[in-house]
Order: sequence, then structure tokens, then C-alpha cells
Amino acid sequence: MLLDGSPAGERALRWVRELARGTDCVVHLLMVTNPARSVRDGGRVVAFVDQLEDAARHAALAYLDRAATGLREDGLVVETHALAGRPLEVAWATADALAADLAVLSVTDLPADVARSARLPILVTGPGCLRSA
Amino acid sequence: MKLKTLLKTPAITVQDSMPLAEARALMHRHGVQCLPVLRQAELVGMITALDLDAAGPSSVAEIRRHDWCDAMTRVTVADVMSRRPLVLTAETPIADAARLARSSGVDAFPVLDAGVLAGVVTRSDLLAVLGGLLGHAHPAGLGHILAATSLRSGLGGALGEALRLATASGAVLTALHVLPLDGRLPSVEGATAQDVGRIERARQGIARAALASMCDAGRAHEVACDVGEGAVAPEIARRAAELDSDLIVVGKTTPRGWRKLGGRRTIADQLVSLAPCPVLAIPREPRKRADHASR
Repeated sequence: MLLDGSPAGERALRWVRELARGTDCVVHLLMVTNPARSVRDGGRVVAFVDQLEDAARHAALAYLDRAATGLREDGLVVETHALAGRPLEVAWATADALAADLAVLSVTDLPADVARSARLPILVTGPGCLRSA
Repeated sequence: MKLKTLLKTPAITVQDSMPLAEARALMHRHGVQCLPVLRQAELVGMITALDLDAAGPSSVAEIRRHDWCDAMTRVTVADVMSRRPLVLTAETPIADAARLARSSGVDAFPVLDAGVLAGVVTRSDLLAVLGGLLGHAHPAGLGHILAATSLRSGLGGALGEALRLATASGAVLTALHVLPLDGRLPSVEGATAQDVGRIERARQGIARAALASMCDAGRAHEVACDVGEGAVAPEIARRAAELDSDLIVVGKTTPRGWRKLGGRRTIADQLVSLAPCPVLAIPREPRKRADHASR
């Protein structure tokens, strides 16, 4: 499941709980951060790629761990991943690597052809979706 | 659901040579009522708070002090533990574990994964899961599922998946087939509105019959079949809103040829932006070898 920290994403989390309940599946929560370059102040580098990426990765993992808590309390096995890159590309690559059966996407900024680019079943909560499970 | 979903790792264990007082302190510190007992890495028994109480000092005042000193120094976990405990594996179904807990009267089981101790599952862990399942026998989130079907080959997977979900969740399922507007017959010279209407009704009847036969293939669940007409994605979204659907299941194709070049959006992609509920898009089933051979 691809999360971006938005309330829409957290609503979709409840769908994951409903769909995974009673199965033996492992839920993988994924957050994709922007690849960083460096922060400059008046031409002077004040932070480097690895420092920025590390900080973003830690923040993402902390968020995912909070998101995973409720699922774990429901008896689901949850793993968290924080990776850098373009969200959809990373999501598809991760789904391939994990041989995922279903991808759940609930990011606010989805491209118009998200379904077309998917090679596996996807559950998408679009902009008109106000429901939560 | 299997026991591996319940295990909290790493398991808290004691060595069989540990004095009873230390084992009691460990249970108290972790708020547990039982501990697996190891000799090196091998599981050799289980010890519970009841075992510790039973092995405690005498209630007779004159000998209690002597007993207590003796227990503190010489009696170990191995002296009071239950040997050869009933062992489960991480792959044991929770329902089987619950049955065993009931028939054996045992409160806690060590759980092995590939021969290594993976954790402990207690009667209260099992009750918590079974209570959760009873509370969600009909999840509130899936009251109605709308399966948007296509009569094109390879897109039947969406209906199959919708049937599976509806059966698992107890949701009501409606299979909807939308006849696209651009498939409407052009007006024929000399044909009356009545004639065109009759042909359209026949066309809808054929679609409804095809839909019903698709639903019959996996009929473990009652399915309502409906045929609509219009722009496909907006019509599906409209019906979903009308039926107060909780989920739309749709097959998805990959545009080929000029459609791909023209960047035409798939029905699934159009639905994502229009739907009032989540959309589950199922990819087209791979074509069978025989299909390729016949081409």
C-alpha cells in the first residue's frame, strides 16, 4: 500500500484492514520520499544528500510505524518501507519485487493513467471517494 | 488465519537452571503468566505463575522462613516446570489452536517456526482474535459491491474477484454491464422510433442474458444483474452513487494501437476520478495459448 501521509491515505488504510482480515497475507506499507540533492545557503552547502534522505526516511518510517500499529493490533502482519524516488515507479517496482497480489494507492496526487500503468490488481481511492471502510 | 499473525517476537524465555525467584521477577516485569523454558536453545518445558505459587514456601509459620531461603537458593525452574508441553507451529490455523485449548484445558502454548521457538500463544490471545472475527462477520465497510462487467474476453476476472469479495464479506453484489452510447444503432431510413426501441431492447436483453450466464459460473452468492446504457465510466459512477456502493470492481485493459498513441484513458482510470467509492481494477487475464495459436 502506497501512503503519502494524507487523510485520504489513512481512510484507505481501513480498506486494507477489511480486505486483509482473515487472510494470511503480509501488508507492506510504502512511503516514497523525494530524492534529495543538497541544501545550499548563499552558495555554501549546509546539508548533503545522505543527511536529507536519511532524515526523510526516518520521518517516513515513523509515520508508517504509527499507521501499522492499528493493523498489527488487528492481527495482521505488517512491514514498512520508506524509499526515495518517483512514487508510482517505486510502487510498481516494489510490488514486482515483493510479488504483491494487490496494490492499494491512496495518494492525493495520482496521475490520470494510474490504472493503465499497473500490471497487478489495484485498489484506488480517487478524489471523489469520501468513503472509509 | 494462522498463529504466526499473533506472535509477538522475540519470545520471553527462561533457562531451566534459573532460580524460581528470578523467574517470578521476570514474569512480573513483563506482565505474563507463563514462560517457555529452554535448555540452551532447546524447548524443554513451560512454567506458569500457578506452578510458581504451588512451589512457594510453606504456609506454616515455623517452617516458612526456612522454606523460603531454600527456594530462593536451590529450587530452579526445572524442578517445577511442566515437561513435554503441547507445542504448536506458526502455520497452525487459529481455529485448530482454539479447539486444542478447549479440549486440553491448556492456557498457553509454545509456538515453533521451523523448529525454533517463535513465541507463545495464550488462550486470551485466541479469544481476542475470535472476538474480533465475530464482530466483523459482516464488515460494515463492504455492504454493497458493484462489479462493472465487460463481455470482452479476458475481463471476466473482475466479476470473479467481486464474487469472492462479496462471499467473504457478506456484501450484496450487483453486476452491471453498460452498453456504450457509441454502440447505438444509427437511425435507419424508414425505421420508426418503435422499431429502434425494439432493437435496443433486444440488444439489452442479449447483454443481460450474457451477464446472467457469467454470474451463474460462480454462483455461491446472490447476484443482481443490471444493464445500463450511456458513457461507460460516468454511468458506472452514477449507478455506484445510486446504489450506495462501497466498492466498484472493474476489469482493466491496456489500450493498444491508436488508442495507446492517442493517450485515451481506460475505463478504470476514468472511474478513479469519478467514483464515489474506491475502485478495484483487475488486469485482463492473460490470453490462453490456444488463442495465440488460432491467430
